[in-house]
Amino acid sequence: MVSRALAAKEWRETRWKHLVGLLVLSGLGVVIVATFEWVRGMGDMLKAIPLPPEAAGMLAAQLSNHYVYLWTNWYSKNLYQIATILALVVGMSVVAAETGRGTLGFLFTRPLSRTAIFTTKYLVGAAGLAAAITGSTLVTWAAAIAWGYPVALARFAPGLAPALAGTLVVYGLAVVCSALSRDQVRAGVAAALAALVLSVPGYFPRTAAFSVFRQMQAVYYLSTGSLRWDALAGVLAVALILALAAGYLFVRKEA
Amino acid sequence: MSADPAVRLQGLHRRFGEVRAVNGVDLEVPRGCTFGLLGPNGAGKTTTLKLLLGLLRPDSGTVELLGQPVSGASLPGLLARVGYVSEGRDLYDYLRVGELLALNARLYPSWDGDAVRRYLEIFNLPAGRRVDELSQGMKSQLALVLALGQRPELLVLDEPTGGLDPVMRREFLALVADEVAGGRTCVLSSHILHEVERVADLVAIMQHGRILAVRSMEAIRSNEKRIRFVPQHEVKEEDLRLAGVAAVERQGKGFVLSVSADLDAVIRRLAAVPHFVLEVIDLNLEDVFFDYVDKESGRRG
Repeated sequence: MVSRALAAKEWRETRWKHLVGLLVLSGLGVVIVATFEWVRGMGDMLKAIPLPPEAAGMLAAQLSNHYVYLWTNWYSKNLYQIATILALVVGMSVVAAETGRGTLGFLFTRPLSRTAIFTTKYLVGAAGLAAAITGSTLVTWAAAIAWGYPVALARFAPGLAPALAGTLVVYGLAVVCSALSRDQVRAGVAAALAALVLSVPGYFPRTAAFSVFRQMQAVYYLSTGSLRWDALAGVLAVALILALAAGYLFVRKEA
Repeated sequence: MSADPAVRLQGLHRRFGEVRAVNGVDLEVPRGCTFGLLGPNGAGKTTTLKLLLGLLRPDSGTVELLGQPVSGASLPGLLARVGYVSEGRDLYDYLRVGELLALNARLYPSWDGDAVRRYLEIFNLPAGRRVDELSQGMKSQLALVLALGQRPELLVLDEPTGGLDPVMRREFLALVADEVAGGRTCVLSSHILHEVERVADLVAIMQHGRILAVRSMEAIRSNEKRIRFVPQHEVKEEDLRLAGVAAVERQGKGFVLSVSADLDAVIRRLAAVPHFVLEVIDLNLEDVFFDYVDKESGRRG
């Protein structure tokens, strides 16, 4: 089902995107950890400024506890935003790059089934994203320990689950657009617009739970200490549907 | 009709919008021969080859490769036995020659590294150079090496000599001829008629998505002739449409007869008519090609 030879070629082609993603995310994680005291000092100054009660409460909660600060700035802010962009950049080229440069015919005349080609391409992209997200989260956790803010990995790592699941949804969306377009930039723009539409439920309290991006922020785990399994299953189901749709489009492609 | 040809196309149709790119193609390519698919640009040659390899789906009709019907399930196994050089030589530009060969080596269980090294030497291809640094001719050579490396039973070449200088072209065609002599089958699409004439055993002439004729080169050399005939007295054109005469064209006081069979019988019949000139002219593939294509264009025009 997966061709190792093709996987090596795919990795050769996309490795810089994943490595840059890993470096950017890791750098952000370290900056978040390193600036806690500085931001807390800024927060003391902000206390002098009248803020809406809700915002003032959130700020106070973040600045009172390094773990809350780290979680909210990592999972609920920076990771899901950068992971979304990374998923769009990786996903938009999965098929459209081959179509655009005319190498789809080369691939389709190798002794591989189209399902195997697609599965390999999809999984290499997904694995690269997962590695960048997981790796940078571990770097962030290690930086927290190094800076003298010990956080148990078992307490910090569960936020990865919704972040990874949501990233797969955005990636799947980009791969669908990539299978529909000959131009990877157009595919990326179309996927970004579709992702924007997906974010709309997040702006309304009654529909916020249906937003993939709200789920990626993993706020439920921070406030309750457990994952919301139904929502996680829902996000994974959407990711699977998008992957199957992209696979269907790919298998029917002509070169 | 051979029992188990390398390629069998039956009732093949494919449209692109209003354009009938392939319009009812029936074709058989026997094993162990070089088959030239000839036609002007837009005749449907590339579309036919893509249908053959499963790169395009036919609107109707069937494709058999190496004795098996082409389907999603059978295609990967069949493609392991087929080498293909596409018209665009669409290779991964960012890879080095050696990396591209290594990728193919891992994909094909039958990959022959020794043969590939020999081909690289013949063509003087540098394994360390990136594909985007190769000339168009070198890309054509690399595409052929990639196609031959897995020791294919069937070689499909779509306009393979584009970008090659005459010396390179001669080496390229010699290598193809060697491979066919070793028992492979080659389907070669081209509009460079003299190169097809050099290597092909059989040719099909295609235009407007249809096969106009399939001829063996041997038959073309021995049977396809023109006769210039100038009678002493007035002869009706229709009286010259004898068995074996494909076309009669009036030229001045005489006629030019295109003969595709029964040459001796035609000459005997004409010799019986008092005449000033009775001259047999040998035809080459180009003459035969234009005979068919012009006739088809005239018919449609």
